[in-house]
Amino acid sequence: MQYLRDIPRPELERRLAGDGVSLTVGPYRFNLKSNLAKVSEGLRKLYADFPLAEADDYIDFPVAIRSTGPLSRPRGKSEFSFEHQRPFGFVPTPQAFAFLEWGMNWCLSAHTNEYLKLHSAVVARDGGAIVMPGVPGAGKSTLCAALGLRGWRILSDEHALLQPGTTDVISACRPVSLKNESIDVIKRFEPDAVFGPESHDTHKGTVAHMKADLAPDSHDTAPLPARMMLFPRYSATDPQRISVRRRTQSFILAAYHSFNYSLMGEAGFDAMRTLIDGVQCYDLVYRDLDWAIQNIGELHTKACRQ
Amino acid sequence: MDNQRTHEPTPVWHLERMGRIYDCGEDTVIYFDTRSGDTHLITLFAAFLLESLAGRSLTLQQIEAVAAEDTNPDDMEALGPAIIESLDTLVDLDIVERL
Repeated sequence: MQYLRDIPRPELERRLAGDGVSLTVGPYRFNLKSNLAKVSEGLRKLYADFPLAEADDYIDFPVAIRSTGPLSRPRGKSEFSFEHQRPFGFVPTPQAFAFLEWGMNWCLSAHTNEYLKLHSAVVARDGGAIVMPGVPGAGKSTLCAALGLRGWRILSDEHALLQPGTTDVISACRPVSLKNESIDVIKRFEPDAVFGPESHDTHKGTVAHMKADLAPDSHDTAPLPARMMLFPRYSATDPQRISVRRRTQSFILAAYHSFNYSLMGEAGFDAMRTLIDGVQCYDLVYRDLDWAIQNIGELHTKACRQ
Repeated sequence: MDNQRTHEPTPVWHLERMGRIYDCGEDTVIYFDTRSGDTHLITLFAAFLLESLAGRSLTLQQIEAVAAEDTNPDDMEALGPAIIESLDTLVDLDIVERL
């Protein structure tokens, strides 16, 4: 198997500007094209250990972020595209890497329905996964990054892909997206964490992505059973706590955080019911990452024994 | 002065088709409305009313009679208003029709 790191830099840039580079991301294949140095640099840092797709693999998502044409290039604009769709319009070229990541998220969120998909971080240890749904800003990505840097396997910071009829989660490991203060929080938490290019003044503020495939089995696509569902919320002022969340409330909240629960109809109801029946549900309020990691670890160990 | 009095018809509540219930032993349940595709968090009592109404139309008196079988005699006075309140909620949620 070949990895992106096996492609020498000039060759990578040539291929990105030409037919593209095809990567395996969990159960999917992305073909990436770009003529932007910042994108090439970001991919080299954050996707180095991603397996390349085989030549005859089906490409699920042929995507590109490019600065092209007589109007966009001089104005410093680029455009993300998936086939003929351009969901963001023109974006500032210095923010291109962030928009590539958001575009890849959008591909998964809007175009696949074989899984029940939750807007959720997912981490795993000891053969069991924790699903952590949360609205943007809840602190799920920061927590996910910190857990990954302390030995947990990151399956995703954005998409929980759940196999209907089971509690099994499929990994779609990609870089963790961090915003604003969270970037420095994680850099202080682990100075060796690897970051890609920072994108400033986006609609979310400053955004940077952290290399997430830190475990030997990061790109393994074998299903892992979810043992817990944890709803994290960062708060600088509220007391830190982990408390049991009622299953019916967890069902409603998880459905709210789902990309395709409603679209799946009755199959979505059945899939969510199986998931909620099979996991322990908790609320987590945290401000200290070490405290959160220790308490999550203890709960997870207990849940895996049950 | 016209003394003619109009008689309002007795209200009837109707549930066209029973949806799916997820009851995990709490005092609320999840109700999936297979007609609309909507998911609701409802009380156990509301779920009981839905099961009583499934596929048919009943008056308040008929619903009270069904509910009375499972109701403590001490709570009988409160039963009617509790039924009305729950049915109003179910009507607001477009799960039940008031005819």
